[in-house]
Amino acid sequence: MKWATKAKAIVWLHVVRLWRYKLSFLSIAVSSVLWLFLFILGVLLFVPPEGQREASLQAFWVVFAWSFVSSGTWLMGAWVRFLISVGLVEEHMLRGVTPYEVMYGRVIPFLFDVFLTTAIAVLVIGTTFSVNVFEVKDTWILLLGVVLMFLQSLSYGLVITSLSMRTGVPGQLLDVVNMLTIGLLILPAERIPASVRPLFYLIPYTAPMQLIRCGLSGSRDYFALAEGLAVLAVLLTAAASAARSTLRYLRREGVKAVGFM
Amino acid sequence: MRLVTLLKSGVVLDLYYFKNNRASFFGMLVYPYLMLGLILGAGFLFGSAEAFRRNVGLNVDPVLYFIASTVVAMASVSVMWEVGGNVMFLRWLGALPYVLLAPHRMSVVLVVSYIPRYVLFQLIQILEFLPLIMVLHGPIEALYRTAVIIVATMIGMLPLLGFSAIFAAVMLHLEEESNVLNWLNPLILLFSGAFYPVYLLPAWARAVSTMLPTTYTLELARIASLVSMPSMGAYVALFSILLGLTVLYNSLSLVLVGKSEEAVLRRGGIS
Repeated sequence: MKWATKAKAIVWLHVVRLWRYKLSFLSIAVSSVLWLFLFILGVLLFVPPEGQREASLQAFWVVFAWSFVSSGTWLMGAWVRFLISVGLVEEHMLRGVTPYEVMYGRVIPFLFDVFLTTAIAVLVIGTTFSVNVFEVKDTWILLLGVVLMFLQSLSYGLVITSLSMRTGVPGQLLDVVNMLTIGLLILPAERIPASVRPLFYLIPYTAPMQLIRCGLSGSRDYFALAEGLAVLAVLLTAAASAARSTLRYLRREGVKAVGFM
Repeated sequence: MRLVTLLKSGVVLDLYYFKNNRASFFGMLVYPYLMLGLILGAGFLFGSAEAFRRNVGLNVDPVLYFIASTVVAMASVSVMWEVGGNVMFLRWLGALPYVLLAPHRMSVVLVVSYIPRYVLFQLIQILEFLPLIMVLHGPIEALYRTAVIIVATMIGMLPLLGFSAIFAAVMLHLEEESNVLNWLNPLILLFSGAFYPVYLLPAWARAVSTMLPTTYTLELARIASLVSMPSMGAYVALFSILLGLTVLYNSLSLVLVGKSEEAVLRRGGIS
């Protein structure tokens, strides 16, 4: 099968599914924002009235960053279980398409979910707290943070995809890890002692989030940029190597799953 | 089939559920602490306990305030999914026709077989906070405050069961059940004042909150967080409202679920 034919089929598959499950996507986005909004309201109870505007602005960008993390985990990493359960991994492999090539197409629902979640968050947070969430001092630094966040979550999603195909990662554990990630995104790097900060940036997502904060405040953090790129390189290498080893394993052992009838 | 048999089947189901879903059991233990840790961690990072008391307008312990909120929020989500959303799972499993054909009405099966799970899960989740409350308030006071939360979640369950069964009736007719329940749960918690007190919400939201059983369950559970205990009158008022809502929602659910079952069976909509 030609590369272009494969790509066209994969894009078509994900666009059609996206359209068919439009209500599910809307529901996921609304419920994610509502859950995070509940959590933000709880946190804002601790903040004096004069600081609430600034805190809500920070909260919006945490929601935005988290939507990348969540989509990477669920719409890529966890979705592969569905592909396995309906028996489509073998079908694709027999036709010369690896499950990873199918997964690359998941970038379409991934980005759509981020867009939808962000739009709803702008509406909910922006109107509730009367704050312009796009008050950005340095757009380029912010965009750099967003691109790094996207690529890191994409790599993480691919690592989870491989783990899912080898072991079957329980959803509850993915949920727990996601909740821990929100904690990391909330934590401003300035609150971490300067001596420990380079180590802090080695945790995935922390450096891109710091770059987003730099974009909001107009400050620069070259450590965050360098370490964010280094972490991305490690994650991409891990994703590629896990994919290679999983494909070898699948060709040798097949896929283990309880199928739907 | 006697009701005791249904209760017994609920208990056995839960024990096997824990045995076969260890990751789920682990998640259930970790989740409340994660939620609490995140809110308190972020709260103290960006603000203070003094600002919290000023904003809430009450002399409360923020840790206990959010322990009570977290426990009731998780209880509410559990009831809504396990009773209201159970129709969806039964439909997916292909077991819905069997439940409809069982000697008891579906609302009774859904509610009675769920009660043991609710009691067990809630007790585990509340008691896992006991060591933390003991550290903060000493053993005797901790036992008393924990008892208030336990009583609140157990009494709060009664109207919530009927409330969720009404949603189960609606679910029988919907084809996008999970889409509805997904956003309904946080919305209910938002209007109930789960993490943000109802009296700080706008007037229209306060009007919605008066109809929700979780509003009063949260109020009752949060008594545990007050530094000075309220008068007996406050307890009696909340108990009375919850019992009134129990009668209202459970009577409504009995009628609505029955009618809904009949309508769906008539049009052959169960598959």
